[in-house]
Amino acid sequence: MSLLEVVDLSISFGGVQALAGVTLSVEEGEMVGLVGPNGAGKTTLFNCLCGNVAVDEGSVRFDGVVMDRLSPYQRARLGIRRTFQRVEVFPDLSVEEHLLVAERARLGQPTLWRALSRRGRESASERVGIQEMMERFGLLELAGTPVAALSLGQCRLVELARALQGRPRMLLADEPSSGLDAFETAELASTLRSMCEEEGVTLVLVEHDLDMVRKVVGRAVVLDLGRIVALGSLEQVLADPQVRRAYLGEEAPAS
Amino acid sequence: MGTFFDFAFTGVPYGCDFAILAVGLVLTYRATGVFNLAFGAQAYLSALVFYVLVRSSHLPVWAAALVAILGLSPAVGIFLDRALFRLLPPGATVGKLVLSVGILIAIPNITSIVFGPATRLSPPSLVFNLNEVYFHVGSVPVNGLELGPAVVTVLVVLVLLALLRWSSIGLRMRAVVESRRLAQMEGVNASGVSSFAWGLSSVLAGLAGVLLAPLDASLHSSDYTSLVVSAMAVAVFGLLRSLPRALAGGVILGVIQTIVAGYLPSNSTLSGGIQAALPFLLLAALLVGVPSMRRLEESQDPLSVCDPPAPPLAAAVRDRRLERPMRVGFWLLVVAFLVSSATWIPGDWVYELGIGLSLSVVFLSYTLITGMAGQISLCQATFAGVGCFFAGQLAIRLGFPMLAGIAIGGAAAAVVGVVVAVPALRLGRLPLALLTLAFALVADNLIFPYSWAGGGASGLFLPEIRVGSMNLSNPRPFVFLSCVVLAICAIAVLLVQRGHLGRALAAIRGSEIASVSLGLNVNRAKIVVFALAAAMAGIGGVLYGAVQQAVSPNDFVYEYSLVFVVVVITTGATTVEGAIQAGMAYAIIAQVLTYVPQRLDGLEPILFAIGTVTYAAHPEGIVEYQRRIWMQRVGRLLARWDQQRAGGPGPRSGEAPRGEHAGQERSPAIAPGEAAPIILGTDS
Repeated sequence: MSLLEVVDLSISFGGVQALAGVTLSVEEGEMVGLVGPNGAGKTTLFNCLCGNVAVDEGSVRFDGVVMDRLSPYQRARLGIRRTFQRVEVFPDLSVEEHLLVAERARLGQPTLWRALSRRGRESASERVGIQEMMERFGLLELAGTPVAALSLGQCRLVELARALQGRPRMLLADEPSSGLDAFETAELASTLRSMCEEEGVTLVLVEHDLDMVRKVVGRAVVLDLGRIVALGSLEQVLADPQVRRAYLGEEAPAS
Repeated sequence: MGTFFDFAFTGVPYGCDFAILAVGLVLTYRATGVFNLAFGAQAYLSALVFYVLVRSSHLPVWAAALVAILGLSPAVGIFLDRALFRLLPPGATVGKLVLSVGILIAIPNITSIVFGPATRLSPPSLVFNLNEVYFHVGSVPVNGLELGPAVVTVLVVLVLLALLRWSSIGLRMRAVVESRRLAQMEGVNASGVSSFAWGLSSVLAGLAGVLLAPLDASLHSSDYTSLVVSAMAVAVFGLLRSLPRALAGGVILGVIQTIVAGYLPSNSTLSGGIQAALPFLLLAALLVGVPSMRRLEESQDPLSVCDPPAPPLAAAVRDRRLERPMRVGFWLLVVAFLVSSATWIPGDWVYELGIGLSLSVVFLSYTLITGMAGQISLCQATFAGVGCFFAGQLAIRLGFPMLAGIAIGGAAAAVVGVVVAVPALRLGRLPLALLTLAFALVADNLIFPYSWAGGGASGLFLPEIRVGSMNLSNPRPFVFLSCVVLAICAIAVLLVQRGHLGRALAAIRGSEIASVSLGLNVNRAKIVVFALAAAMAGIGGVLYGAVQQAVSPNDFVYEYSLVFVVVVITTGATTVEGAIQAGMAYAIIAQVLTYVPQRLDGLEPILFAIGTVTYAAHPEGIVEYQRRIWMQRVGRLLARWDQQRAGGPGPRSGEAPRGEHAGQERSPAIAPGEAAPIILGTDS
């Protein structure tokens, strides 16, 4: 059984059909690139998977659990984490605190009394995990900095570190390289890949930088106008005439 | 059927009164981005000037109207824009809301000082002769009082629609509302556009004020405020966007109200309450039920990434060596306060200090809701009332001891807090503030007037708080009791603030969608903080009632919630110290003002309303701001002293003094070229 099974997912906003019958499955431990032109529905698909928007039709299963009626935070607790196209950080919290929030949320819902009485400072065991994660992303020296003072690229790293701190089974990364330069992108690609491999995290990556996609993923899914137009290895997919048409505006030969 | 039609038809002109105010609210919101709670106060101001010009200066009606509507009103609007709203940081939802509440409170108090508090009977009419019946519809006579607002409202809507549709100013106003700075970069004269917008919407306020003046037998600011609060329901019906919908909504509300009034039995508390609470029930239903109302004004300023990060809190700037002296100083202060209030301070002052301490407990609820959850609640006085009345009724009817009532009242308020929080969960800041205001007004009209709740018109007389033979309701022992209760509550808030829940709330405040994506149960965190805050308000309410003993629903009306918000935001809603100092300042200033002439009674609300202006410069509150400044100064002195003792060079060549650049100290860790925040000049 696949880890993620999306069956016939459709959603429309007003007159725009953002997703039209997307069916997709992702195996455990797989790394999938989700590519497609702007407006193809990539971020909308993430939003549907995470429960941020209500779908019109279709169903999503994660590890055999039907998620359709689960609220976003319950889906997160099943082991899904995501990052955002427009970075979503907590401006008042430091880098370290971002990871602490994620770490605590991972451990599940504390009882009411514990939520109220628990000390804000991290315990020794929490600190070890958090330090390690910051080191992986080169954030160690920024640990105490409020995130409001960081650059966009650094915020992206904080977002990724925060998502991975939740020890997800599946990570949905939405354009993690935007705002980074070529060198940083390459470094991010290798960090992301090695982290996901080591921890056995299933990765779905939305990315416009095809170099990065090539370095990270094993399989690519091309989305255009809310439909899956091609599946397969990246090279295979990029050669597909329908994909070329979607991306480059080339006329596909009539079939 | 005839009566039904009659009832319905009389509602139409009545509804136009709501409609013109709602149209004003919608226009102001669209043109300036401010949901102007002070709209009614502006209307009142021009009505008052109109009245004074006609009745005292004996100007002809048209000249007085010209001065009031086209002269004074836009001048006030442009002043508000240039002197106040322009200073707010971009995207400051809370700031805009609080500032408009401040103006709402300030204007009537200022006018009563300037023009005197006299009752102003039979206000003049602008357009039509009031009592002349112009024509009949069916069997319903239509007189000038009813015709005026109806005709003018329709005309105004048509003119505004034309202006917004066919002139380019409408588009520019929307751009400036979204981001003043961005619009300026695109070559829009943002200052001019926003002054025009404020001027225009204020003309509408003036027009509404003058038109509606003859509705009541005399001119009162509170009538205008409550009319505008009713008009909010209509504005929300118009989705805060559509002028025709606002017009239609006003008429519908008017019709519903007259029909309900016509069919309910008169002279019962219930029907009077339902009639008065109807707009607020509708407002609440619309806010909760209409999805597009939930996330109003949540768009961030696109340029917010260019702003420098907020300065660190005072606690972060503090030199470690100061900790001990400060702790010692704090305890000395507490002991001095307790000893003085037990001995030499006069009795009426001690009584007022007791009130200040109880209010401090109420104000702690703002530390939770505003400081931690980043929301504005406009019903904390109502929660205080719930606590007070619940504990009071238990004590009076069932003989419960009042001391236990403190905890019981807090628990009761917490339960009601959960009831309010659940529908409010998905609301953004502005809708939440409006929902809490609606709840406060429903409670004022529909719940508190009953004898089983607030004791009706005569109120309740609470039993004393007794421990053994000691009467703790006497002012001097009461100070001790309330200090203990305040300390317990303050410690609870501090623990929450520094603990797990506090950080979770800070995360939710920063980005709700990201918090959810980590698996945080956002709804539960919000409900918990709302319930805790309501409990604080309830506990404070019981104390507040216990020291006064005679309490009535009038002690907890929604106006107090508005004043409270203004007081706490001015002093500081982010820290526990801020809440305590707010309570004490409120009580002490009230006591000081008993020595000034009666005409200056409104001075205290004016002082705090002016204080809201400081929100623009330091949103953390003046107490917190001053603390940070002083911590920095002392830190600098200590650093200089260190250097001199070490025999090093003078302070000028030394490294950056500790604390002063706490924000910049981080910069070495940030890659050069990315770190320096670009500080854009504000509007010139």
